[in-house]
Amino acid sequence: MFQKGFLRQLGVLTVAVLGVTLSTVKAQSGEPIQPLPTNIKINDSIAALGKQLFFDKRLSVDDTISCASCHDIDGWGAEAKSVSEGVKKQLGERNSPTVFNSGLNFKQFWDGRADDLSHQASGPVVNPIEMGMPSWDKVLEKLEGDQEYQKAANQLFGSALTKDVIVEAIAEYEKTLLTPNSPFDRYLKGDAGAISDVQKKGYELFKSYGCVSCHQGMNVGGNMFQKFGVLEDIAMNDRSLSNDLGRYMVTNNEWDKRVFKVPSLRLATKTAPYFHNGSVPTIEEAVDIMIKFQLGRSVPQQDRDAIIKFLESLVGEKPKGS
Amino acid sequence: MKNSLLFALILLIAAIGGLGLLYLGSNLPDNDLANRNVNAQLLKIDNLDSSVNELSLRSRANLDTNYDLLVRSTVALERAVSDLSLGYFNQEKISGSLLETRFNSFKATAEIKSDQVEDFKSHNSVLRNSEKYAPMVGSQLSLIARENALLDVENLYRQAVIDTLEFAKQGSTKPVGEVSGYADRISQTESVMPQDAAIKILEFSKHVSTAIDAKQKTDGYLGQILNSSLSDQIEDLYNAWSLWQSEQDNSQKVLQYCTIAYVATMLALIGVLAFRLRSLYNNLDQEVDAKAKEIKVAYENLHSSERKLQQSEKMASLGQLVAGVAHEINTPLGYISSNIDTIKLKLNKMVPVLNKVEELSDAASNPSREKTALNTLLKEQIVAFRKIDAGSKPERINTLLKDSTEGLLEIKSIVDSLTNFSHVEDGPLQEVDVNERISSTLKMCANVVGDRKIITNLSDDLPMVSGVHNQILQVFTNIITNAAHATDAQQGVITVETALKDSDVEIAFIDNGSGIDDESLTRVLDPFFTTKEVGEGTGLGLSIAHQIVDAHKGELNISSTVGEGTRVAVLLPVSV
Ligand code: HEC
Ligand code: HEC
Repeated sequence: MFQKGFLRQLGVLTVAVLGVTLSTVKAQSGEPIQPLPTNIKINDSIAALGKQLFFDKRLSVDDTISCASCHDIDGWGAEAKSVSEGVKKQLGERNSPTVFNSGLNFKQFWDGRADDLSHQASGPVVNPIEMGMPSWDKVLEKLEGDQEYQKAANQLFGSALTKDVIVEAIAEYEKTLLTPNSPFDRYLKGDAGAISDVQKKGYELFKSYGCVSCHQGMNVGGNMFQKFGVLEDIAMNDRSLSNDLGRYMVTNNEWDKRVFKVPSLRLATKTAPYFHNGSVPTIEEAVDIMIKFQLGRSVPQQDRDAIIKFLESLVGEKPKGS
Repeated sequence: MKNSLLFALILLIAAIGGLGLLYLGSNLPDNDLANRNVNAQLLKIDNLDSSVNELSLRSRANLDTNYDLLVRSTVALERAVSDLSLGYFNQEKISGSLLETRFNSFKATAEIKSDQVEDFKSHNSVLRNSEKYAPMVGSQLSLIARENALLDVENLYRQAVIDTLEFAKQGSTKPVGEVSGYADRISQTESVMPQDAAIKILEFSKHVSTAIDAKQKTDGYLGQILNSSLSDQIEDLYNAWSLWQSEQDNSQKVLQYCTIAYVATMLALIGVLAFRLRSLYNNLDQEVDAKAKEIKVAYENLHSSERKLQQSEKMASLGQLVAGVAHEINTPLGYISSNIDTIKLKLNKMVPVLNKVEELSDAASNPSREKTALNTLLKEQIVAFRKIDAGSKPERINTLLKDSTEGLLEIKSIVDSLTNFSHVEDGPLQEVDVNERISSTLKMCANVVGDRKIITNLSDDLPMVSGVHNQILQVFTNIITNAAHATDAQQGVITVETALKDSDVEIAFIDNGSGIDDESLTRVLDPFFTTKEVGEGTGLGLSIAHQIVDAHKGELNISSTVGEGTRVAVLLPVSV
């Protein structure tokens, strides 16, 4: 018999412990934004293999595109184009988000169609517009002769180079791509002088206007879905931001029309252009759109600017491994 | 089928069967471990489910300032369910079972719950903003309304703020329909309110409606989350799992049947093998019988040829003997015949005397007899008698006859010996005088022995031994013949000794011949072993002697030194 009684007790216990933990967390810092972790558990060898794969153009059909082509690791993990250009100069429909800190997002892609990084990594390679490989078998065929890969796969996973090995390795590499120790994180950790007074004000406004209701947590976003245009129909904007039905394409739920993953704002000031189709070139315009369509209210420009100053304080160090 | 082939086949079947069982067995899941793991996983899911509930509540109550923890629990819950579906509750494994149905509905519930959590999160965030902003903008607008002495509008705004807040916070006593009407009523105030308030009125209306809408949705989803039957389904799920496990036990039963079948098959095969072995064993008996018979026949053949050989050996000895016998007989025969010649001569001289005796007898018997004529006749008679010489007198003839009779007796004794020798049959056991046998032997072997010196050293008071006369004679003959052949014709000395040794009589034949080397010594008793030239001897002599001695329960011992001579000792048990 299922040990229900015991289970219940344990459940109660867990809840109790959780409650205590939560209250301590709350007692330590009730801030809706939390600093990025500075040390995470990573298998360096696997990450090293993942890095090689991330930069390997052979993962594309004509050997022209690697993951890094659209996710500029030397920059901030994203790209300056509004929408990505894949193999044979084909244009995608969405802006490439930064891969930095993306491991902290609860789902991957704008519409959250991938649960995690390894799930995500299996996408672009066989996406006809992105890397255009006809199938994973063809990818493996191509890399079959690479002794270095095969050796590493064998050593690290005890198997030949397979799709799973490739995506796991890439995912492991991506986990290293964090941008910790931002001024704001240092401020959160007690360094009161880490950010300017305007930035502090910006943070307060960010909270009081309600940006934090959506852009929150460790990644200042990336932990929920939201309709783009909750308070005002996004079609009212002339940037064709309403064309993409977002999560609806994944779930087919009426309410999910134009619902997107709330993006992380950690590197927002570094990764223009903005929004899912990269149609908004400046952060100012992006924030204005947010104020109008997500907050449904008016915000004085100086408040808006303070918020943007605050957003700047979220930018941390570039990842060490990149 | 050959037995070895059958055996190999049985081994093969045994091995394949054994491996098959092993494979079957190893493919069975470890139930205890599986139970523990499934139990732990379900426990984990139940815990995570409670956490999700708890954290949703905390988010709703603004106790948590962000969803990170809720996200973590939700993701962990999704993972835990997907782990189950990838592992123990693998679709392929449990397909067609109650467990599958229940797990599918469980998964669906979990998925719905995930979606509800997402929806809850979204609406809760929106609600938070609107329930905060609506009173703010409402208060600002009421102030404007008051400044413009629009009491109804002011009241409407105040009431809207209160009701919206109340509704959003803990649910209103007023029906939803009434509360949701505020948005429109607020919008309608735009016409009476000053121009510059238009945007705020729009915002107020939007946020009131959003707050009311988001509140309903948020609490709706929260209610669904809290009421989700995930936790309740866990018990059913576990029961289905137990059921499925016991069905798996059926496969364990299958394994059991397989094992029984295997054992039965093996027993049957072993039975077959045993049967084959049994018939083989029977055949073996028959075969052994047949072989034994063959061997017996062969043995008998050998035995009879051995007997024949013994016979021929005897004949060979006989051949040698005949020469000796002839020589032996010749001497008495010579003088017998010369004696008879002499007697004939002597008797011829007697004839005139005997004739006168006849005349005298006739005259004397005549009735008209004359004295003178008788006297004359008598005188003539005496003259005639005196004419024959003394050597022809009857006494002398008698001596000759006596000598001849002795010669004949001697011949008879030789002939007697011969008859004895040629007698093959095993005679009945007799009391045998060993010394006498030696004398007989030496007599018969005179020819073989030739000029070799024979020294006899015979004990006087020997007891009789029990045996067959002629066989013992043959033993001795064979030994002496060998001794003679081993020694020089002129210098050879053969010593024959008899003595009583405990309960045996020992007869030793010692020669000063060439001797026998050690290697040959081990083989001298083998039939057909011979050192003589081919054709000279059969090589059976000593072998036959040994055999005979054996038959007499005696012993034949040979010792020899090359260059010095050989001693052959026969031990025969004393007759009881
Ligand atoms: C042709 C350009 C292109 C290439 C090549 C490409 N990506 Fe992307 N990447 C994108 C775009 C565009 C998106 C957003 C797509 C969407 O959300 O539908 C994206 C999204 C992502 C995300 C999701 C980030 C988030 O926060 O949601 C990750 C992670 C990522 N890519 C990693 C990779 C990896 C790993 C590779 C190589 C295997 C790769 N990308 C190759 C353009 C590209
Ligand atoms: C109701 C939820 C919600 C609120 C409130 C909200 N945002 Fe957003 N934000 C979103 C969503 C959803 C997107 C993504 C829209 C898209 O690209 O489709 C977004 C995107 C953005 C982006 C663009 C990020 C990028 O990389 O493209 C910025 C910048 C931004 N928000 C800033 C803000 C600021 C500043 C506030 C407060 C003034 C705010 N947001 C309030 C939901 C919200």
